[in-house]
Amino acid sequence: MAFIPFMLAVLAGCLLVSSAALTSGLRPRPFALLLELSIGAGLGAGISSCLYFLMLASGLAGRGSILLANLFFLALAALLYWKTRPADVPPTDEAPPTKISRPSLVFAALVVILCLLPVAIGNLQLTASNPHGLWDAWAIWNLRAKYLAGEGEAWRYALSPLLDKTHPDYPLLLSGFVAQSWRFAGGDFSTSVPIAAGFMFSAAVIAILASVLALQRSLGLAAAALMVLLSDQQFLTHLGGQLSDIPLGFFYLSSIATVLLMESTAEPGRAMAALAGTLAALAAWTKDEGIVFALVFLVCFAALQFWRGGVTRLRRTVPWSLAGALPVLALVGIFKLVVAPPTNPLTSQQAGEAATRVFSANRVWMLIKSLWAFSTERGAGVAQPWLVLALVVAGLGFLKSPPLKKVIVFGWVVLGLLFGGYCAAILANPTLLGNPWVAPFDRMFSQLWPSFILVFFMTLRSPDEFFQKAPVAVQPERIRKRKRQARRAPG
Amino acid sequence: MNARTARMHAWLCLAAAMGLATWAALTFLEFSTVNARESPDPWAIARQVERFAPLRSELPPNSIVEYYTDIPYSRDSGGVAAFFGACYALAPHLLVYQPKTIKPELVVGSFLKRPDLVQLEQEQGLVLVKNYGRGLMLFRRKGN
Repeated sequence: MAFIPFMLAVLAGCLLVSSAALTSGLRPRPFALLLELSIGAGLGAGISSCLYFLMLASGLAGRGSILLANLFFLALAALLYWKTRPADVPPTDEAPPTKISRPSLVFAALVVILCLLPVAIGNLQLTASNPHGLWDAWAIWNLRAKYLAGEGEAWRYALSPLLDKTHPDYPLLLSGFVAQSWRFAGGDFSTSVPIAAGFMFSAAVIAILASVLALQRSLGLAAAALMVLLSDQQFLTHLGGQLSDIPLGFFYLSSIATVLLMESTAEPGRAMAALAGTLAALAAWTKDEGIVFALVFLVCFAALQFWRGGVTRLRRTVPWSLAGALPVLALVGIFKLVVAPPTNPLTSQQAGEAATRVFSANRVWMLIKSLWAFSTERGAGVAQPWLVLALVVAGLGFLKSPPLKKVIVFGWVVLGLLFGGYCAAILANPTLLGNPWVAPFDRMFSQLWPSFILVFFMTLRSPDEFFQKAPVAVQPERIRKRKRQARRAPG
Repeated sequence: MNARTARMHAWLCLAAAMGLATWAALTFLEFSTVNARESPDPWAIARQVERFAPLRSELPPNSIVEYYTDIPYSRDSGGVAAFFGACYALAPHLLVYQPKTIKPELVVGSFLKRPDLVQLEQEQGLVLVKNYGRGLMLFRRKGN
């Protein structure tokens, strides 16, 4: 019963992504479908969570209205799909079939068996032994989901200043999505809902990374990227932890991936621009860091459009990305400025104090030391993710002229500015730096890791180039004879 | 570097990377197996949910209740985990610890040691309403 709104939302999201024709003409089709399903699942969850918060705020969050809202969302998505699909998608036989080489398949299968399978089993075990999730899951996200799912006005407790020890000002995407299903099930706080939501976002992150690289570059490169992604122990622990960091990483990754796919088409669709904008804005509804991402992303997206096609292209796509982003950003803005209590020590301090902290040499040195410590302690002994990455780079090397160079630059600028924003926020926050119980770096790496790998791997050569047999020179019989004679000759 | 050497070099590097990645994945699998066997649910959240269930069901809808405990509120003592675990177990009722702005009528007591009820009534004004066992009690604040 609890999963009815959950499934309706996911289905609606998948239809929305399909209607944006994000993967039209791309091969192999199974990866295109996997990509649409993965982005769609998170998109549906995000939009459904926004709708649920609006229902709560307007006093309409009953079981019937939850069902109706999600059915309405599905109907709208189906209508869009029906209206846009036939016009946008060329017949599939136009695209040449992609041949995947046997060594690539073997390599990918090895990565799945040796890396993905143990990680999946490990996460199932962690979930079975910690059904309520990691610390932040039960102390923040699922706790607030219980308030949001409570009867009557209990949802206001999720935003109560009395909850000052557990961030009542945090955005509500994950909590809202879980709460909706709990409320629909009549207040049954089954752990299966947050577990399913967590696994959905985790699987989607892995699937998006693999499928974008398989569609844009090659299956071998996708497998190599997964190998690097799954060598980060902290990231693996977070996958099944029911935290908001993986959904946040999902929205970072999916919005950058959408731009990557959009820019690889000659005529980028408006729906794709709107999709990219919505995904970026949903990051802002997931966690505070997402607000910085959404703003950086939208500005950089506009700059990219101008760079690629001047004012004409800017005018054609940017209004659509804003149309996708603004409704969600408006909700986040109202939530942060009007509804949520001002309990964040970062935003409740004087600007002068914050600036003093940011420019303090001691704090900057502490930040550098912490960054170094956290980035070098993410592996298992010698199996550090950076070492795995370095080996892949040493083996493959960089492309001399990577495809979609401007989009790759866009990706680096977005991630660079976001990283800078994280560092500034950590420096300015009076409670984060030096507090052993707070783990901003740990979470930060998990959020950025999938997007970093996607952008980085777009610049690498594909393993498939090396899997093909090197041409063996056929030596004429005469030369071979001469060589044999030379070997036999004394001295 | 000729094509054959470059190919060999790439294969060797990828094989080494796969070896390390496999090592990382298996280490994670071992960690989760040991964790599941030796310290499942380290903060005892499932036990808290079960322990607080009878009290939760008997509270008036959407109550705000105060938390009173003999465990010091620090990470090292487990007091912070016990408080947040209790918050999670009692939600959607709101549990507050030493609130500055309100004095809730109902107080949930969570104790490691048997409390002196007479002393609690005299010093804190807490009158026992019901003892749920396992160190869990519901009090009413005197004077309300």
